[in-house]
Amino acid sequence: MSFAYQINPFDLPGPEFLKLYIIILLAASAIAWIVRRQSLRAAESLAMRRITVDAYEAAYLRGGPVRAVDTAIAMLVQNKTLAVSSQKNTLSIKGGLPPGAHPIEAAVVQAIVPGHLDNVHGIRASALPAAEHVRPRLERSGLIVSGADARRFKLRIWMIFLAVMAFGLIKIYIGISRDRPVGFLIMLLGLAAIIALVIGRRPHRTRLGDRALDQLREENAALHATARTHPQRLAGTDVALALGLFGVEALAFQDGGWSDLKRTLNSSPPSTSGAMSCGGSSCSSGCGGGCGGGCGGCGG
Amino acid sequence: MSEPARNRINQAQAALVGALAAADPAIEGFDLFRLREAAGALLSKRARAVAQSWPRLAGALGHDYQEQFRRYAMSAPLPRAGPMADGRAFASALEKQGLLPEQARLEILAFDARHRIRDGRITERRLYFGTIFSRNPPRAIIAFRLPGLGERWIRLWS
Amino acid sequence: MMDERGAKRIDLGRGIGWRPELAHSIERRAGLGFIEVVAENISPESVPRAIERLRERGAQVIAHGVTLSLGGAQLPDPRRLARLARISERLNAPFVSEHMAFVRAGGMESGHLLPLERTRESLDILVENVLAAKAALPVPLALENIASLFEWPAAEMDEATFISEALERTDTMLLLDVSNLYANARNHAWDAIDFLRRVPLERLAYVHIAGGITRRGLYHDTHAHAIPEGALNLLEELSALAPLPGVMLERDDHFPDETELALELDAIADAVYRGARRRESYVRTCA
Repeated sequence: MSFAYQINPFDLPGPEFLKLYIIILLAASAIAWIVRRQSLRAAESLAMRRITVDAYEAAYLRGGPVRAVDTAIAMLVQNKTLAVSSQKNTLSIKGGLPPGAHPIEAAVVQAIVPGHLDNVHGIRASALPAAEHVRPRLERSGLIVSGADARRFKLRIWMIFLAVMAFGLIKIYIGISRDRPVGFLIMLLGLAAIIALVIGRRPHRTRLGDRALDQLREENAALHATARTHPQRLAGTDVALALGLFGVEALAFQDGGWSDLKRTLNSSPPSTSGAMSCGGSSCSSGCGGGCGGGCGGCGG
Repeated sequence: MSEPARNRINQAQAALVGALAAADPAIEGFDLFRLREAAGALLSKRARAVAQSWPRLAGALGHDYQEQFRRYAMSAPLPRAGPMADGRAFASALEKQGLLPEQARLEILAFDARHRIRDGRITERRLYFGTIFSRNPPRAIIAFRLPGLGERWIRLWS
Repeated sequence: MMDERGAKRIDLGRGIGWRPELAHSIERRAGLGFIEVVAENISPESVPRAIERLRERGAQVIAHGVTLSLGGAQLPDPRRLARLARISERLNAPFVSEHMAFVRAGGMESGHLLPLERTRESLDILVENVLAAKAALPVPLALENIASLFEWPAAEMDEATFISEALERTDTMLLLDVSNLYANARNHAWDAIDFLRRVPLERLAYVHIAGGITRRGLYHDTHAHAIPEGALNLLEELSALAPLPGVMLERDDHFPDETELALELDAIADAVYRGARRRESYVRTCA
């Protein structure tokens, strides 16, 4: 019995090999996770310059082109260019495009063909290319992972997991040729593929981008507070920025069109967050949680 | 301070609070016109706070809101937990009389799925199951809350 | 700076009552020295980021309580006091303020700040309650005068006497609401200037001013309308009598747009300035 023969893992008995394989899989996952973090950090060499973004760039940074298009749709509903029907999730044109409208807003309006293409999902899809126009600047600023970087990153992750899977496949081949059960190992191979998909999913923001978004949200905490309670006070550009940074859910417009819009854009029920936050006067639900106090009011 | 003095003040102040909450405030020695004005101001302040906390309920009632709320407020003391709790109690009172507008139910379900009112406080719920089934507008919605899973909504039809 | 009584006097400058609806305008408004937050509306565990940012910019934050019911028949609730103390510590507030009023009685919440009987007995209870509150708070307490459409019958003293005695006996500061003073003087036909001359202005912590509206002959202090000319004049008179450590606008509803808000803040600053000019020229002629 040679030494090399003794440590050949493919000759380990089934349960032992499974244990080894699980350890290898965990190690590969950890390495892949580190690779992911490292790849996202790469762009930080661009340094922490002060980066200013407009509403649509903020939306893109937050959630990609779909959120940018949603911001445009919301702006158009807010300025009464579009109307929503939440029954059929459709949009219709009510007024002319305001002068100086953003290209994404123009693309949304152009995408609508009354009676034919008016479903919000279809409109979103046709306006997406226009939203991609905000991408290059975000990429150059190092906030968004570029296409080439993303491909390189995916390749690295998959190389790790393909090696792990190849290792398992050899054992499966040996196992089958020796008439041994290989079911558990096949399941582990499947698991490896799933982990590869999760860790290797296309990265959106770089870590610089994460920080920039956090900083923008922090700088606009006051805008967020007012958007959640009294968005009517905000100027159009501020409404857009609030939409971009915090999403449609964060604006508490009270008219029916707005709640229809929320429902249409994300078919989840309207959140109570708008209603729950402090009403207007000094009385609010904030009392309820902590002091359980009635409201002494504003007479003083 | 002596107990009797505090008791006497308590009685006098309670009489005033009671009078101000009544439909027609009257209490000896006070200027009736001014008490009425103050009671009216208090009521509209209470109604406004509830409308702000429950915008869809108020919106669905429209012009009836003020009158319906006035009727409710006359018989219901102001809850300690504030306008959210006040509005929830108002909604319950409307429901008992069959006057709750269908459009307000979603807002109520959203509140109930997250909160409960107990001992004068609004607290977070851990368990909840609630539904809305209606023909007009046609919809079927289930909301529930489970520990670990959080809040989930299922729209069967809407 | 300490005055002869040893009470801390802090120069706050101009301020505004922080409401989420106004947060965006407040953030954009330069030169605000302080904000006041309604203590019952925020939790010490999660202070809104927008408030923290103002603090980081150097604005002072005052915690303003509305539910202690200091003029009520019960001693102030220790739980409410503890919460107010926590908030004031969390915000590093120079002081906290509350009202000379009651909000609940006989187990009922009124939902409003109601006036006190101006009797010896009622004053003694207020003093005792305020002393209990002071003992539980980590920072000085300022007491505010309220507005009321009606008065209790059989008053044993006028409001200036009642308030002055309460402040002296409890050694607390005064949060003077000139709009409440304007409202009471108008609705109950007494002299607001005389009031200003008789209350201990050396105890002044800061000043409130707000808008209101006249309905059926009574002035309602709504905090939802423009500041009336009369209240601004009263602010000027006050400023002519004593240096004002801080003046702030309270707005709770029908929130104005940014321009209108800026105009109100400017009108407040102008009134304070006019008064200060008068005071200085008066001091000069006497000297």
